[in-house]
Amino acid sequence: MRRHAYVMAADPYFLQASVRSYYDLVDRIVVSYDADGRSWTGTDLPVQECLAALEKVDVDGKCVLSPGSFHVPGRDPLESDTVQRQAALDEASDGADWVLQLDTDEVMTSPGTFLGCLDRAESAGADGLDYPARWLYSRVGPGKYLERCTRFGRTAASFPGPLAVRAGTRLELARQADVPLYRVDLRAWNTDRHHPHDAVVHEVVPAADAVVHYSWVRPPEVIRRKFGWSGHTDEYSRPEVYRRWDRFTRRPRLAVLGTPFRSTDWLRVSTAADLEEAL
Amino acid sequence: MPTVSVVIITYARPAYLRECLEHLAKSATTPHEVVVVDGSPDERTRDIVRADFDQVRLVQHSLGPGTMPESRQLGLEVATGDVVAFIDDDAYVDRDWLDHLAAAYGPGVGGVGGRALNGQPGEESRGLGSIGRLLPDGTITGNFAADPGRTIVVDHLLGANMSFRRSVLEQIGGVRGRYPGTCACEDTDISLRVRQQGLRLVFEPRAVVRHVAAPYQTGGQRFDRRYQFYSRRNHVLLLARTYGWRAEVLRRYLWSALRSQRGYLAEAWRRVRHARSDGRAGGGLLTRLTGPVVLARSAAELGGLLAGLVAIAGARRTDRAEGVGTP
Repeated sequence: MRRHAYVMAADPYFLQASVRSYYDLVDRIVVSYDADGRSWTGTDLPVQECLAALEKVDVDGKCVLSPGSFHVPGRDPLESDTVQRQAALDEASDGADWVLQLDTDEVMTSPGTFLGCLDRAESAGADGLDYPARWLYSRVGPGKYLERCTRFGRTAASFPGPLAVRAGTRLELARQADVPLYRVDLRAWNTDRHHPHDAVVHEVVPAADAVVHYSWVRPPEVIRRKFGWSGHTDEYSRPEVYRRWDRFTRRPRLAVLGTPFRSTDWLRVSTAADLEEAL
Repeated sequence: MPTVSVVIITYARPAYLRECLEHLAKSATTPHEVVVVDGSPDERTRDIVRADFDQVRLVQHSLGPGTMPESRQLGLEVATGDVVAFIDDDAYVDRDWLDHLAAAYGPGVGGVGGRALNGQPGEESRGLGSIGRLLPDGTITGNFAADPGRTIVVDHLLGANMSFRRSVLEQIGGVRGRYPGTCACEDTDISLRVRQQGLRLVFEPRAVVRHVAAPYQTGGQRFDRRYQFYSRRNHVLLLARTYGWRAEVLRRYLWSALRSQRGYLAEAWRRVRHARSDGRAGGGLLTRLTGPVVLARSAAELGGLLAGLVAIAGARRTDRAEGVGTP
């Protein structure tokens, strides 16, 4: 099976750890970035910093730079997100059977498990691999994080979109694609509240093998910037989103104790690798 | 290419069997042999076979209705081909069905199945990615009408269109019986046991049958309460016989089955509340009064689960005695 990947160089946080975690699984990595250093919302991006970080990781010369222009004033950021991903995916599809599409703050903890699932997805006739990610909300201490969970504190997976798709796949929205999926979860029944409760689970992996998504694990000034350039900026840039993040980060115990009583933002304290280089 | 014996089990559906045999006769490659296993209480089926299909080998039995596994075993016992293919009497093969089936037997392949088209709109794309799976929650998926466009690996095959190496079937002790009723599960039982031998099962989408779903000759409708009862009963038995009492997949299945009852409760409650399926008020008095009838389905399924649990000990004891027990 020939595997390629694409990354979008926009956010240097965790970028090296992310790419390094699956570097040996792929033959080529298409690095997509905005040539003008603009985000989908028009803000400035530290593109050169990202490219410099990638150069350090790319010891075998697998990275192929692919600049483009993805900021279109007035266009929905999520649409620009999809356009950029599709362009990168199309380029990465050349000569590949499957293309990995991890964001640069998603770190693969068990590449062997991931690869096994991908092999089984291939043999089952699926065109996408939905692989679970643990979604980290913020860092609250050395190696300790607030992590999204179920209302009563059990591990929950999040599925931002298939983390690998068959080459030539057409994306619908951001990473999501309307293709037959092989869905891996953390228990035999769906654990992601955003999916239907009866969503099919083809395979179960331990939580320790899930991808770790350091989604909102950033210093305060960076998380504010990230909310501004994200494809979800309309939602994230509301002041209460940042205020809540700040409150929960400073008082994690209260965030956890209040979880069963909230309708959203169910959080627990958990451990994950502390990637000092990124912080 | 391996030689293929085709086994068709039938019970009192002579017209369907005739058409089934006529389609087989038009195959691009003639099967090694065709075996019809007939348990009909009258002579109509046997008369047709003797009069119009003199090349077909006829095996007669009087085990009665609801004995599909036992009938398959009778067919297997007389088959002599390298591969034994089973099709239903209401499953009509495409001209090149047999060629595609036989060609898929590569190294390490213990069984090959194909598509069974039911004539439903969109069935070719429904369930792609979930064809013939045994899921971690203990349930199984079908979707055997879907066309993935390539040969894929599956966990189990559909009785209407499946085949296995004869040597492997003999190695696992043949087809296990004691799966009564209208949802027999013996096809999945064979499949899972073949996989336990370390062999692969593949789904070849070009090996097509058209499954016309003939009416049962044993009374009742295709997916009635009786079907729901036997579906649960035999599934519990299947998992316990194949993986053992303590298998996690059995516990998960029991939990999955209980969880799924919520759907019936919700539906009954919705009807009693005088709501339409879109959640708005509506529906007649009759709908409200008959709302709880939906729970009969739940009762059938829960009864099936219980009956399955009760039947496990006896079935496993008999399996061991007959040398077809699994752990």
